[in-house]
Amino acid sequence: MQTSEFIDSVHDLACQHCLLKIAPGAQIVDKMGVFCCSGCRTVFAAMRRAGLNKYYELQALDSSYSPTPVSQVGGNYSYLDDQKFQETHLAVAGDAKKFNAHCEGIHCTACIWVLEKLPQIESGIVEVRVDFPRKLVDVAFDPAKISLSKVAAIMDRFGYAPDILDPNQIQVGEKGISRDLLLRMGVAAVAAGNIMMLSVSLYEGGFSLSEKGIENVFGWGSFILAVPSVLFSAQPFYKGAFAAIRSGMLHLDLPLAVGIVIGFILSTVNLILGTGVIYYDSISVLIFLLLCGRVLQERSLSKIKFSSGIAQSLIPASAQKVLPDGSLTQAYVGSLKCGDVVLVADREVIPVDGTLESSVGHINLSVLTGEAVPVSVKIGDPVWAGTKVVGESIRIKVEKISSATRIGTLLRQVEDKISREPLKGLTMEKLTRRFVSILALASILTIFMFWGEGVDSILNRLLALFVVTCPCALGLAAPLTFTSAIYRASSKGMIIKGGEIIERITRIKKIFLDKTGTLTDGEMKVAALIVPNNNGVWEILNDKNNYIGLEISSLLSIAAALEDGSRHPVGRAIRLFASTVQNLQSINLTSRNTLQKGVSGVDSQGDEWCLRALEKADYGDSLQLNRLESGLTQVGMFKNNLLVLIFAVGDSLRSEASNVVKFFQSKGVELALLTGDNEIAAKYFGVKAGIAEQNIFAGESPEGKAAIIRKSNLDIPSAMVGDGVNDTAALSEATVGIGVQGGAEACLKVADVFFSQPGIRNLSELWLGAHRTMGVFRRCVLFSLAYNLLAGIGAISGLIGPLEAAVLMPFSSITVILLSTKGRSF
Amino acid sequence: MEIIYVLLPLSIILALGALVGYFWAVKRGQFDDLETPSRRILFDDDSSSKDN
Repeated sequence: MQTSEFIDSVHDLACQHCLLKIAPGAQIVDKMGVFCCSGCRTVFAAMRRAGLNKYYELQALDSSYSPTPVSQVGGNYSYLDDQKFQETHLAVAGDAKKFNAHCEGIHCTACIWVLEKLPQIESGIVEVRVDFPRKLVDVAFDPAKISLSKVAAIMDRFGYAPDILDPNQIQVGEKGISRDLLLRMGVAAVAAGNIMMLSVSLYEGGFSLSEKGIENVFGWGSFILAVPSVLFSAQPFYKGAFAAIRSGMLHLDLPLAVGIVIGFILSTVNLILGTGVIYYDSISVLIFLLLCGRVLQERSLSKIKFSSGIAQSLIPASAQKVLPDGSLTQAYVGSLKCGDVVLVADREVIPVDGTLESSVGHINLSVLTGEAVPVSVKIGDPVWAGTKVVGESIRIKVEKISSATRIGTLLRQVEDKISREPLKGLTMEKLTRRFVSILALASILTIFMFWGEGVDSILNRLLALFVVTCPCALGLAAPLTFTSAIYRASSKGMIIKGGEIIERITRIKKIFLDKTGTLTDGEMKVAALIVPNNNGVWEILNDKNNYIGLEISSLLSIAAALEDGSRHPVGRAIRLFASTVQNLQSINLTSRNTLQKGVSGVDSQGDEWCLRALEKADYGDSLQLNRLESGLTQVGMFKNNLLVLIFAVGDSLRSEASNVVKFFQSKGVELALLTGDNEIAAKYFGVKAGIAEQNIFAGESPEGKAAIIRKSNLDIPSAMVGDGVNDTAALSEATVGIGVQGGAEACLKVADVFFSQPGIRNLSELWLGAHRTMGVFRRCVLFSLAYNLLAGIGAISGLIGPLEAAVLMPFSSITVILLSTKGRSF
Repeated sequence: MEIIYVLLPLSIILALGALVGYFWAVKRGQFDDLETPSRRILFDDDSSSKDN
């Protein structure tokens, strides 16, 4: 056939739209070129029609671009015109209306160009602004000229299916660095800079302290500048200190706030009395440096983007409602009521929890169970939101919607857990507690030791102590070390959601791996063909040349025809396998049937062909199939009810899996397999990867997975690596939850770490990097503590006066900044 | 040395001016997204994007 010859010649080709290298047999070829998926073809055609060919030039210019196929295109957006939806999601801006949307499709510079070009293509769209790092768009449109659903459909046509955000649910951090923090930092910078300028002249001795008039100008100038810094800029530290006092936990903000307040009050007293030294310079620099640390931290954290509105991405926002007269209407799911009936078509995601109204249906439950093979349901059976219809469309009587659904509840539990246990620095906390208590002890000691020397001497010693030990070094070490580590890790494809997580990674002693998509690559493939040899014994065909023979190739042609259009992963695997073989013929089958466990059809010679899962009765004991690896599904091909060929279909182990297992075993970390799949498959892949048999847990429900992790976590810190929504609860239970690329968005949302490259290759790198980062952090803390100890003793004994302390303080801070940002981490 | 009484407030006023400009920029959201504008410079027929 013409197409198959062409397929052989285009193996090395890349998708015309997204540049993805195309697997043989998986591409779409037409007169415009070669595409990896229909989404890419649709978008390519739309770009051409709109005269946006420049998109591809810009895409080529972007060195950071990595091939990203169009995931979804051609969505139905008519529900967006629902009054209730528009009331909550649209903002008014003059004549125009505005909305904020998240577009997963934004991935390179060219995307910004196309989206911001939309107003020139469609006059109803007033303005589009793209926030690239967060994949957000701000769209203003004129409701008099164009409807919201039309705007969404246009964006969709170019591959940017918009997920319109509810303005009340946009999360903190989704908008980048908080403006509030930036303003505080600006004020602190102006104060610190100018106070330093005034103070330098004091340090330099250009104006001796005895020149009362001049000194007062500098002193009062510094005071005026310090007031906004202390009152406005330093507010976050006071808030942190108050929160620490209220919750009874010692936080680093507490000594910081105390140091700032005491330093400010004492300096002011000294200024008024005209005796002693003032420390507005050290205080304002301290505030500025600390705020810089926070801004740096927020900035690198905000670069790490996570999906918005998990429920939105898993459960469709619209449904086809069946009206009493039998007609259909597109409705916003939020407006559905219990007892309404909705229609869900083939390959669509079920939007509600309910019961089946149709007599029979097939549903892919992988979102809940991880099992990719669809199950059949009968009338009255429960069906769940988030699962996918396979084959005929079904009718569902609505029982629960959105957050009340099973998947919604699962996600809510996850969110609750996150808010119940806010991320807290583990070592940091212990260290701070000790640091603060030692400081308090040292102050009391100073008061008693120097009681005889008078209030003035005590106050000076205390002030020097507070300034010199002001835990600037300690306060900077943690955020800077961890944020620079997080930033470097993210450029290597490991997205870590917080500094504390790095510390938790180093404590892990057991790692649970999900099977499908994590340990295996998650794609069903034909692993072997089994045929009878000359003696009638069934054997695996090992030699590739053997099955290129005409007979096998005509069998495969029939198999491909039988599975044509099949949605079942096994059927798809057989079709793909057949399409890679040469001399594939196009065969017309009549009376095609979908059976309980397979498909059948009749060819032009009147022979009946059937492909279905093998049962024991089919081969009995006479067939020697025991050599076949048991993790595979066996599909038999029957000609007039006679078995002629067996396909062994299965997932395959990732190439790096056994190396990763070996690495962790050499480091004394235990590995376990935790899957919803059946025991045979779990054992097969687990043992093959090198995981001990007692550590293989099969057939677990999402809730069961979470329970196993919770139990294991009580004994030893455990990590979970997974990719499905069925792993979300387990991921959030684990000490560290790791999501793998290709996973459902909810899984990424709850994961502590997310790998943006497929596979688990990064797992060992993550572990090593975390350990190195903790090493850097320990060095910083050690330095900072040693400095504080020496300087503290110096301050109490009076060797270091407040002025020397003020000079030493920034020196220690800069050392820590260099140590923490230059140290090797990821 | 009396000139210091003029120079000091002057330098502070200058700094305040810079601060006002900074506040204005932050409030207009110029620091919200530091990456997209750096990519926008690649578009030579730039008619759809204004500074923000």
